[in-house]
Amino acid sequence: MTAVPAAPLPGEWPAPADAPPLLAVESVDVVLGRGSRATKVLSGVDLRIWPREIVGLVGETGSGKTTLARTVVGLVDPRQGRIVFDGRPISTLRRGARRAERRRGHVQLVFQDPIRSLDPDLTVAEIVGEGLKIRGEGDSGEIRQRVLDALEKVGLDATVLARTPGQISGGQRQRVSIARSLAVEPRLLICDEPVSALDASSRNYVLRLLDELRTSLGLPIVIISHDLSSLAGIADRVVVLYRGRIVEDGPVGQVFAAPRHPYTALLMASAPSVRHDRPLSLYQLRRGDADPVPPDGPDACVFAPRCPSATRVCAAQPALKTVGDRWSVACHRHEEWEALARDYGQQRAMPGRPADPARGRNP
Amino acid sequence: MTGRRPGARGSGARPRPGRSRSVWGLPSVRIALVILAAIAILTAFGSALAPQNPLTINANALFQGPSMHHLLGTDYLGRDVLSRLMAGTRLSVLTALEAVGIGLALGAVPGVATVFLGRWFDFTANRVADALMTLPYVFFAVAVTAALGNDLGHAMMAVGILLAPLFFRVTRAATLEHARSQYVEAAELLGASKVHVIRVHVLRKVLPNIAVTTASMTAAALLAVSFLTFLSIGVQPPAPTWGGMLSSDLDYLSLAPWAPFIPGAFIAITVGALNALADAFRDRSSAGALVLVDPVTQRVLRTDPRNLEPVDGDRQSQSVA
Amino acid sequence: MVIDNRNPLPDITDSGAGADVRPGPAPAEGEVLSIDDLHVSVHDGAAMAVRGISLSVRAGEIVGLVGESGSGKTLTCRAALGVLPRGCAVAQGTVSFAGQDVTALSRRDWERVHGNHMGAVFQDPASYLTPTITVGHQLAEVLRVKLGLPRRAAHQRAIELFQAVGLRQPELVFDQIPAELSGGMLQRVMIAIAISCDPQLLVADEPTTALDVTIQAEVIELLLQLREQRGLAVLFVSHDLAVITELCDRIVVFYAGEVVESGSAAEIIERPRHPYTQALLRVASVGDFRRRELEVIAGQPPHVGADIVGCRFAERCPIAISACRADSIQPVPVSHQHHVRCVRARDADNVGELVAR
Repeated sequence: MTAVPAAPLPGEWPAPADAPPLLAVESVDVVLGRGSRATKVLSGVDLRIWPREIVGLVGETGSGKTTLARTVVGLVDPRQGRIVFDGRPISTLRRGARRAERRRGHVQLVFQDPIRSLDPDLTVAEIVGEGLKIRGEGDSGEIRQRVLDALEKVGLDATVLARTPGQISGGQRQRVSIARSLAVEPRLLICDEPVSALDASSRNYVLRLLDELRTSLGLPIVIISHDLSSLAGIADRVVVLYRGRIVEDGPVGQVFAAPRHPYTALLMASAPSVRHDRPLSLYQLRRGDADPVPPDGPDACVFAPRCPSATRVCAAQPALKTVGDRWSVACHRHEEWEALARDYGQQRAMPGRPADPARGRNP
Repeated sequence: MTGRRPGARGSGARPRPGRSRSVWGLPSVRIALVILAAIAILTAFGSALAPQNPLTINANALFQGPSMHHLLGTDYLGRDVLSRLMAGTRLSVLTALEAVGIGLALGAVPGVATVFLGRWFDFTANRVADALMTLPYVFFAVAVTAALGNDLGHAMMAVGILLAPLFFRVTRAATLEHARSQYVEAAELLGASKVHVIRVHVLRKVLPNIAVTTASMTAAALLAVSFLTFLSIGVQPPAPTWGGMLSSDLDYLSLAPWAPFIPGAFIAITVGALNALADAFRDRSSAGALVLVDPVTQRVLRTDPRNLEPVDGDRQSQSVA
Repeated sequence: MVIDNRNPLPDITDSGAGADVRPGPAPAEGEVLSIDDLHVSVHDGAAMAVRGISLSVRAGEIVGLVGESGSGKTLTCRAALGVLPRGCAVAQGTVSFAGQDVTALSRRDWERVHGNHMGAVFQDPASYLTPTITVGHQLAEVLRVKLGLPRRAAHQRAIELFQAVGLRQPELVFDQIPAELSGGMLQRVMIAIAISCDPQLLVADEPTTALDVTIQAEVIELLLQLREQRGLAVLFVSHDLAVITELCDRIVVFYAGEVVESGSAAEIIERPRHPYTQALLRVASVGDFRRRELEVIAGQPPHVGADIVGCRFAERCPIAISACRADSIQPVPVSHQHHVRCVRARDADNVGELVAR
């Protein structure tokens, strides 16, 4: 097979360093649940999004990525910190003002599961046009035209207008969900796991679609996923979330070439691929049972219990540190862990276990 | 729950293409509708359709069995039973409907609203409903008629007030279920007001529940009417009522043992028809809540009978906890 | 158990164009599962969803079935396990397990096979476990019922099995109910239950599809480990070719109810011969996250059971010719144990033309 060709960046990215961000998440803490069930789901999250960029927000289940999306759009209120859009704080708005802000449609969220987020009793036309109807702009003819425009942007035509969500395919439902958000002309789009339930071809189709939307509308898009493959090919930037904290945030090409956080490397090594050229194997990126016990406790680095390179210094939660152009990482040992991982891998091989299970297939 | 991404449940066979699953096609529903249509006609025109005058006393024809002249025989005053039944339908049914109407208005409307009006309103409404549900309706009806006058309308108003908490509970539960769904969240994100959410998303999903409850409550109200008139509460003799007829028949049981079965059967058949209708509605409305995956083609299906076509689905859809 | 797939078989020479080299009904030595010319009808015989599938799994081998939804891979799996859904039936062909024909086995006989010889794991583990009983007890119950172990021994064995599938602190896990465990842990519990009676074959239908990527990698590793330690053969079904590649020795590619290509994983990835396989490779994840061109496969697969003359992929195929639509296409060998259902499989320019795209 030929090597994978790299496509050029869309030219407008990255935005100049001093340009103001469109969205700023400032030191946000989020606690969910009450009383004894209260859990801190996000801690000190700092994130900026600029126009025209596609940012992949990656984290496992429980990392807080969906909560972060819901906090940005105001379905959840932060306990600390705030959300600022275009220079205006939106997380502190009261009910009426919040509704007015939402009607402007600046920030839109495409929910993860179109089966649950599309009203099964409404037609596609009613669903996609709902935002416009709520705004009360235009008569039914104008609304219908704008609905058709939005559907066209996602590759659907008038034939689906009269259908209900149950009568169209999964990929089409996903696109209707996107069209609903596009109809109100957002300035920022957040997609929660847009392609996780799709096969490879449909996934690529939707990702290409998002890329075209970014280019044609200048629309920044945040793609939330548990897996890097769900944003591979179109993301400019990757933000890695682990148990409520950002551990790495940088340009995707550079992070891919040399991840600075061991968790990022673990995510990359875990991603299935038809080509097996992994710089580091899973084996080298995980703690073995024989490794020394890592520091634990509320102040320690969140990743320490899972980290193969955790030492005493990791008893204090590391702050996000800049390590390159628009690239930051939260790790005390971000300069040494990779070399150590290579060595550890060899030392840790146990009898009865293949040294590199990723290559454990029989010929 | 952490670390888990539950998937949509899979299983369940697909209804065969072409077979209708509409509730109106069921034989039990059709029979029920015929019965209820007959009752409705009697309610509207009962007195006019009766073969004889229900009030005419005939001392020479007491407790006669069924004959050409009196299809269901005569009662203890020689009056035609069939005519009395037909004439009595109007009063019984209208007052039962009055009770249901009051219950619906006082119960279903707050039931939907309470989900959107905040915690304090919900708390208060629930406590009021709890209190009302502790009252036994017979005593409450007696108390109301004692205060307002011995009129069946007053008695059934009391019954209606006591039906309200049942309507409240059912509509509240149904509304809660839909108010927390993601499509409502999506509408909120578009800036929808609560009224919009109720009107566009919630109402049509809650109406089936309301319909079921109304049918069951009408059956309950009819039984209540029958019982109250049986106890002579709200009854102005000689106006015929089903319960009243039952009561007087029981007084003369030794002379005419067959007699009570006639009004009894009337009541039972009507109540049975209403319950069958309620059951059919309930089965239909609960089916729409599930999402099933066809195990053959892995296509996602809705079990909502309104949307039976198989869709060209991708894989099962997943959702993050 | 002896893993005996290390003896290379002699190369099959080209026995002429269109030669039918499907394996005959008699199983080769060491085969745990052999499916021959399987046809499965669905919707009470209204449509034929699986047409003429033949494949085999040898002891200790991991075979991957890959294809889109509705391609027949799940139905084939279920036919092999004897658990076809209502309305579906084997219309033709045989399924043999360790040399014995199990196609028309009675329910009681299947109960003897399930667990002791064949284990299964499916996509959503929580729906296969009782929510109110601890997972340890559910596993112990299987051991008591199937192996007749006394209570204490079953308890002990259950903890050992939890350890074997990589669950840390198995004694604590024993006392958890399913709601208290993560998806990855539940899937490990399912695997523990599936292998508890030492089956020769594990059938896994999309077991990792609903799991996070890191957990998926661990489960794949676990399956490889189980093969090493117990000689467990695995039939693994997935729509994701990348996952299949990570795990499987041999790959069987399904399309619209047929096998369109089968062979060793290395062969299929390096030298795919069927245009559909090539398309799958073009869209599969390559583990490179930089910006690049993303490919799609145009068109839709035919409806389940559609009656098509000739190649079922012809409508979407970039290199289809008239011969493709003329008559039913038989699988052709292109090298050692590599079969392709395509009239252009051996065209010298076929391979080059498609890979260069």
